[in-house]
Amino acid sequence: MSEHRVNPNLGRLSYAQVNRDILATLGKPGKIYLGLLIFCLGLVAVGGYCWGQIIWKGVGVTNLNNPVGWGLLITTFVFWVGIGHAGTLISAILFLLRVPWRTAIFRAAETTTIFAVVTAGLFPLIHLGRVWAMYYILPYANGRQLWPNFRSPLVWDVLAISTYLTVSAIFFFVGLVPDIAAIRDRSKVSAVRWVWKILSLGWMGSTRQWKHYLAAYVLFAGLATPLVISVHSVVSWDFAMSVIPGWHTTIFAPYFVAGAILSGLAMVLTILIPLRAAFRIGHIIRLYHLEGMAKVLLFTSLIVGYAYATEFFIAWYSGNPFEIAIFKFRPTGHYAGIFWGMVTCNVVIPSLFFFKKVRTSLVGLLLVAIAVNFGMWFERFNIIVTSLSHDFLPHNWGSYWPSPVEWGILAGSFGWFFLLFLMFVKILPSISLAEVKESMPEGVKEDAA
Amino acid sequence: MSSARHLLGFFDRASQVVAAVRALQDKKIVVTDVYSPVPNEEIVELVAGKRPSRVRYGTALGAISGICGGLGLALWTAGVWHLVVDGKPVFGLIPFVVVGFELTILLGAILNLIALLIFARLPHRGFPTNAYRPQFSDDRFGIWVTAEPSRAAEAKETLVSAGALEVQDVEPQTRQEARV
Repeated sequence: MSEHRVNPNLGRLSYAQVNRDILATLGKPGKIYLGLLIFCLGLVAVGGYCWGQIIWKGVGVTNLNNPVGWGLLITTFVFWVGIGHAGTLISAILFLLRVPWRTAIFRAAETTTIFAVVTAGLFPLIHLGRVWAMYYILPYANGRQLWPNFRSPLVWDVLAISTYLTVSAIFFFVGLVPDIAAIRDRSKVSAVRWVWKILSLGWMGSTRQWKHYLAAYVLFAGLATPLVISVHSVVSWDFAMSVIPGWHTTIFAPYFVAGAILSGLAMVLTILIPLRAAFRIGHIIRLYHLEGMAKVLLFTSLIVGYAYATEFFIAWYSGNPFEIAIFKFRPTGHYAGIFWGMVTCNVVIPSLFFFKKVRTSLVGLLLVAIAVNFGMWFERFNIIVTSLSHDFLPHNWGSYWPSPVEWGILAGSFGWFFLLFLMFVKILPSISLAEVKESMPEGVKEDAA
Repeated sequence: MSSARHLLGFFDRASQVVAAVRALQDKKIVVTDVYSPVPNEEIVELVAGKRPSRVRYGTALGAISGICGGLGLALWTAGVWHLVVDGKPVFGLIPFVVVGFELTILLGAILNLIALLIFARLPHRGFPTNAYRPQFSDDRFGIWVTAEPSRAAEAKETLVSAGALEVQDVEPQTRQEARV
């Protein structure tokens, strides 16, 4: 057992107890679970209906028009891509840094990543209107020798998001293999056992398997670390590569990455706190783990606050009248509510985590996390919509507010994300068995636990 | 060693497994395999040796193919029509680095997975081996020892003295296992 990975905060748990308690989460669902599942399905139906309206009637059913051609749909795309950042941060970067509190929470964070990116990927397709034409942007071999323009940040975005989803999914599956083997070995129904046998790839935890597994896992983490930084940088370049005031700035890449990690951590906290209560796994996901996340959340919130201030400073310092105008418009124009909501939720409220009492209170953690979720959506809206509605020419200025169809799609995306997560927690373990055991002090017997 | 005896020792602590493997290796008794519910680098090094896993060659191959393929695709497709867009150079190396980077990561990760499957021999077609027990994914470690019949008692005693909870006889499943 590597000493540096032992986490004394896991207390006196035995290996068998970890297996039993985590695999118990896969048991028969209760009424609250089924109720939530039906509620999420309802939201998905609403979202599906609204998307159907766009396909059937055209993008006219949204309120997108000149000058605001990117509205709620692109806002929500950037929001969900950001949510997908905490998973890889926790599973890859914190793994390489040997941070002990990641072990109990990284599976839930990785799952958040996969489902958030899957959800985000829908939005460019919805925004496209004619979704069947989406293949135009893919670099597929064709007889006419027509290729996408690889100098366009939109093409980079397609490559970055699809790479991120693929790599995250591989990383996620590889991490699951030893746990699937544990499910297989406990499974009593032969047909179900057969499925787990296939999915576990015949994993036995033999020396050969662990040797190559450990090597591959470090390499996955090493590959995923620059990827997590690059993905939201590329998303930020969708904006920064243009000349629109408020978008054309070099700070966007680090600003977006910090914001993405902030929102991702907030979403993971929002999911984990009810999850540990519902499955009664507070002895595995302890306050110690949640407090570690709260500290990183606070740190990223400070970076985001610094980026907000820097944007204003650079607008003033540049002497560029268009930049100055947009940065006067944001806090005082007709989207001022969104701007101040963003500052409050992303900078003011997270600073409560300076107080240990808030960091170690479940209610405090949950409320701050929910506030950040709202704040990060406001941030995306603030960046995208305010800049488009207030560009160079005053006669071109306009305003935009999403239509009911767009709000319906937003609600549907939350339903879709939580539906996937709810299904996941009843099919596969939402906490890694192998890594939690690895981080435990050894030799705790079942009777001592 | 076709008449060799195969013993399986059950342990509940990784440190005991390490001690047992060391003691067996000191006595030149063959440790065929160790089953563990958790990753443990010390056990891996003792049993499989200190030589690094060859998975990294697959990853490097994928990453190199990715950067060459990504840059090559972007440069080649830009050269098909030579269209100047927005006054930018047709062969813009800086934007093409993004394409090269993403494909480096993508192919690096895919070949990393393939190399893992190849070198770890997954999916394991012979699953489960006769020495594997379901407890090994739960709370037990297993040391599979192959010894000459004359040394089986010594091997068993070494396992027990290192803290084995139980020692069982196992039959090898394949000729390859029997040959060890």
